[in-house]
Amino acid sequence: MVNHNQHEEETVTEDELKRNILNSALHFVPTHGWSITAIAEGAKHYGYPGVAHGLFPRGGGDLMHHFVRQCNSELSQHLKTVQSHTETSHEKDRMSKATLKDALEMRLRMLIPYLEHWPQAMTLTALPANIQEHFRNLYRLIDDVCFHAGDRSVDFSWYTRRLSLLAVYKSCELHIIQDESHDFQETWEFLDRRLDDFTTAGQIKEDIDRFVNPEFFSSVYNVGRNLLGVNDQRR
Amino acid sequence: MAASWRNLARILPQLVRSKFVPYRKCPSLDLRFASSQASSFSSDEGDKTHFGFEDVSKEEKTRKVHEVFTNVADKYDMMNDAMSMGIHRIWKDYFIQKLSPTQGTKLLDVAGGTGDIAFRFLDYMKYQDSLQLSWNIPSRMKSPEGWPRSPSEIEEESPTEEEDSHVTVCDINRSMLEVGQKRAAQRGLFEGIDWVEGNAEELPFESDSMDVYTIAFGIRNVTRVQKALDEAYRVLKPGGRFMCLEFSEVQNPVIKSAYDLYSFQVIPALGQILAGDWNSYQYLVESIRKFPSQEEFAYMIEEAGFACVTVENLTGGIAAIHSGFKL
Repeated sequence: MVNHNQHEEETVTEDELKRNILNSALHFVPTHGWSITAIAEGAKHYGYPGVAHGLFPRGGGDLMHHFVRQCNSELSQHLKTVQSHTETSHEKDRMSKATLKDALEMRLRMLIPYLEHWPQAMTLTALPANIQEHFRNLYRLIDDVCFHAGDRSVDFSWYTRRLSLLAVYKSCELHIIQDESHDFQETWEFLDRRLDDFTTAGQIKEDIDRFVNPEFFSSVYNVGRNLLGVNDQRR
Repeated sequence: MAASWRNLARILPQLVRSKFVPYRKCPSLDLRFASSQASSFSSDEGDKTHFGFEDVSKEEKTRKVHEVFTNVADKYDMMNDAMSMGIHRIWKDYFIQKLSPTQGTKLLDVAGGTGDIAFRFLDYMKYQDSLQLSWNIPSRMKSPEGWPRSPSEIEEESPTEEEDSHVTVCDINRSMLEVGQKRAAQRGLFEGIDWVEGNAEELPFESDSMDVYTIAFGIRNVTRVQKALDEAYRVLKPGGRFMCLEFSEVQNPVIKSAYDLYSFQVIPALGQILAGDWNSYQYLVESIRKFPSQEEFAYMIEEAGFACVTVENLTGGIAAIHSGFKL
């Protein structure tokens, strides 16, 4: 039992205290899942009564978000150091597949200790109370990965890249929870194939871009409006 | 039945007389008065306080409240059901669910004489045990050879390392405690529960000794509310939770008008018919109007030193759950 003395108590802020409780709660996830019980055990371990789990009104959801945030910042730290080492020879506006693969694999590996209960965490993300923060965290993860992989796009591909990378990451997550191969080899192969698709899709998109210019979009838009009958200027 | 009709005949003149009185007498219907009320609630200076809409000295309030609850003790639970149409049970169930006590929790239920919260707490602990069992089954079944297991194996795992949960019911009024003890005996509850006669302003417990402090529909009747909150802070362990279920201010004007009509015209009459006591129930509804609003009470809880204070309204603010932590 970790006992915190008076002096420490004064310096620890409310947020730090919550973080500490959640950190010690993570040790209990493999036995109790992403649940109030895990948080209560964590609080007890920290030297607080179990009912301190009430500090986290979303229960397991708060614990899961805490874990995701922690993993994301760890990854982002890692990517920062890697990037500064190999200050890059990336072509402008093109993402390196190797960096993407390393980043996503590292992030997926962080789930391994909690894999048995990860499906439960995934169901928690669908709860209305959790869904917003879930997508915010996911967006941050993908955005960090894209940035450090050298994406500097300022056009529409900014969105498409993030969306398709998100699909890659999420499908890998679904793959890894069912993977029984040694060291999750199948998942890394799966990830490799998905990233191949991803870069090919990017190639195709560039081809399309060459044919399609803004006038094309505006004419499509006008045709659409005419078809829907909302183009009447006299209204 | 005949007795009820006689009662009704007796109170009808009273009903007519009281028709518009509450609205004239009730300053809290006007929001401008709200802040001055809160200050009179929170300040310990001066010896005046209120008993319903009356201004009385503090000693007198303590005495009168004691009198009210001695009068209503026997009919208290039946009247709660009648007046709230059973909703108070849902509030209390939700209250315990929100607390979600864990194994080994030491609960102090202040002003909980008839044991409503205490029994729910103990029931919840029992239910939680069975819940835990059902969670364990899937992981056991994963290894077929380990299932079914031998009885000796099961015995090894049976939880002995956990502390037992415990609830202490503290009430200033002996008659209320007696009702609670009688109900406990009916339920066959003799373990894990203590009954203590004590004042919420001077709790007879050591500092840092409780995990949870609950007070349901009680703090309104305490003479010095701020002092009771300070005491709650004192007896709780670090990380302990303060939870209060209390009548509060209804914000929605439509519900509010219906609620006022019901409380001033129906509740005292119900009290007269069912419990033969008009004044105690008149006090009940008046004291609700005199209690600070959600925000003001939350502020008082923070004043006592609690952190992470939250408020949740129940049934449009007729009741509210205040929660805080001693960090």
